[in-house]
Amino acid sequence: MRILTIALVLCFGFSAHFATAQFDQFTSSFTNTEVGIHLMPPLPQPGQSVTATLSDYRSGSVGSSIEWSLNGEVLETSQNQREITFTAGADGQSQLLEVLATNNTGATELFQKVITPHYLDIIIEPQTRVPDFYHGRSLPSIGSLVNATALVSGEYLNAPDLVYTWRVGQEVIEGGPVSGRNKVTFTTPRGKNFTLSLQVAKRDGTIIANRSLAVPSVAPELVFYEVNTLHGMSKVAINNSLALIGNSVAVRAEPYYLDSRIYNNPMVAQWKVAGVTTETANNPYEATIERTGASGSRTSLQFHVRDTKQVLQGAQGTIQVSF
Amino acid sequence: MNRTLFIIIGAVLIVVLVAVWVYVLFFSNSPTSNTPEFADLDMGVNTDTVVIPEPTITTEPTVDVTGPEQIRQLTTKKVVGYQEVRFSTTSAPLAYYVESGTGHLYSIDLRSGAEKKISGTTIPNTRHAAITPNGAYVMLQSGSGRSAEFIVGQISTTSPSLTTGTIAEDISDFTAAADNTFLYAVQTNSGTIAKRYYPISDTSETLFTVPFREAIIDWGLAATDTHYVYPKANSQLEGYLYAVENGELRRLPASGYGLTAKGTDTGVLFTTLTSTNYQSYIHNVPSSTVSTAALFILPEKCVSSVQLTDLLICGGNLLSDTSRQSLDQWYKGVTTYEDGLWEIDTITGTASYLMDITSATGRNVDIHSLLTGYEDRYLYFINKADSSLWLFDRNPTN
Repeated sequence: MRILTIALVLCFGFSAHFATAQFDQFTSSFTNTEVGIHLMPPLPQPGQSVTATLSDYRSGSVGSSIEWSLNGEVLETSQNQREITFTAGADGQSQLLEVLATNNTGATELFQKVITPHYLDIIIEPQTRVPDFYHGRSLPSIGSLVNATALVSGEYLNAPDLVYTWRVGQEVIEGGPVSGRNKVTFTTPRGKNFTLSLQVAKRDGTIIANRSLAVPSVAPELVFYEVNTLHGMSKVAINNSLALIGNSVAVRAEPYYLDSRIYNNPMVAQWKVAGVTTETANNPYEATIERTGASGSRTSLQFHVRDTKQVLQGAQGTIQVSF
Repeated sequence: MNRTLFIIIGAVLIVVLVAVWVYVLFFSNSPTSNTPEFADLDMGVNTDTVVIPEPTITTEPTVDVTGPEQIRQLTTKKVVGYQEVRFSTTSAPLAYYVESGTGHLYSIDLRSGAEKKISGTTIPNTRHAAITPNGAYVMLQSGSGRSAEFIVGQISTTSPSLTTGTIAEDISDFTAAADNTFLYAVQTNSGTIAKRYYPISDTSETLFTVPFREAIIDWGLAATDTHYVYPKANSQLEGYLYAVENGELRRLPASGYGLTAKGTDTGVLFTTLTSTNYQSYIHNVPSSTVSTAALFILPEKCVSSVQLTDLLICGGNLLSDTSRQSLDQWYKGVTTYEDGLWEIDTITGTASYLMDITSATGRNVDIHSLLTGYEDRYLYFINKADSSLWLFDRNPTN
């Protein structure tokens, strides 16, 4: 019985530690029993709304009057509030948040927190296909490679010795924190989106910024464009149907967001005219169709591109050609 | 008796006729050079004045640039680059433009409308071009993607050909600067390098570096001006705005999904997605504050005023689609805009309507690649739908 009791006490004692370890280490205010000012978010970005909480539940602090001040200016509307909301300052500009607690005996205690907000930008650069004229950024697709670049603003912009901890979902990239590694490459996991997290710290362990963002993952899609021998590919897409005016027309199929490795070496790149597979010349993504029948006819033009071995993604699309 | 008489009479007549013919042939007066022979039967004095007009042979086509219309289409050719060139403050402004596909260079005299081919040097598959303001140099992109080549040509005033050289770098974007150099961006494995090219000495220098590849650079008018940099836009990816001053990147308080931007010396117009649609904002540089713009404007459809440093001239429409996918669809060419012309004050955030192009011309125009000319008199832009060059004249009666 004694042994059982000791074992139960030990189990309960350790389980509390395990329980707290399940919580996201980036937001630990709930389990943080340290006396002082706690911020949510703990590392705010410039201009971000911040909630500050005075965490002091000692018996001697019951009934204390509380006075908040920001940069030496007393916040009149927050008298005796344990929680206030304010706006973080500009990039790199420190703010001093103070709480003066006066208990029933007249003893005072001052708590201080310095907030120096920095931007932590994470630039997502998917290695997927978009045409050269496309002014926008491509999107990740399942199995495609993504480059991510982190930029911390202000004094840390080009700092070479910061420590970066990258996570895709719950998996830590490169096995753990890496010094100077503000660029990483990873494979887009399955699902419609995934979470990319980053924590940036100094060499002494002081965390200076952290961030999580949801990154989408999309299916590749085909858009068709007419190709002119003189002017090149049109920048106006063919919307579902194309009228063949002359005797022939060249059509390019652009597989937006297709993994670049597949685009450069597709396992399947197939054109079909009226359901019949057609051979193309040099460029597998371009087909020239010629008028053969009488005017007033209509036929379908279909393109299919796919990888069947490695990345397992593809796209398929059809337009109608009238002549 | 009768037969003999007839023969004698006949012979006499023949002799008389021959004598008359000989006289007319050899002894009559020669016609004057102005007298048409076929018409002069010498039957009387011809007092009609006959004038044969000289045929008019037109060697140069003309563009209709006269008249009271404020807006006019300058070309039917597809244009990949253009510039307003003035050789003096009093000389006629010329619109130089480069034809898509051929790289041929033309000029249009904006007073007379005369169009002239400046260079017939063919640069195959010309896709983009930039011309220096002094009209002396042109930079052209031949081809696209990894096979693109970048050629710099010196424009001759005496012969219709270019003297060309190449820039052997992986250029992703280029423009002409106000000091007649070229600014261009080079993609590397780790980011983007912004450079300036001096066509006279055929040398380059690095201006600044951007630590990511997929960068859009909103170039200032000169290499030493403030440039703005942001990641290429996508409605599903977050973008961030940076100012580049003296070669250093500085983060601005502007970020969001689908971010695009256009800056002046005193303010930046930027557009991002809210929870449901796109919204435009003004970042005031001196006060470092952000306010909501008067209407939704795509920054790519804007250009800085030459005379007023806090003014943007933009294409836009109050009824433009601002839905979540609208920007991505426009980039893909799936949708088009029907633009009018607006002025945006980047200090106050107010907008003024300049012209309803659709009403004035009966055409829907999707404005991009704007440029303002000398003293903001002329505004130029390309219609994305057909790549034709257009002109807006603020003072058409002058």
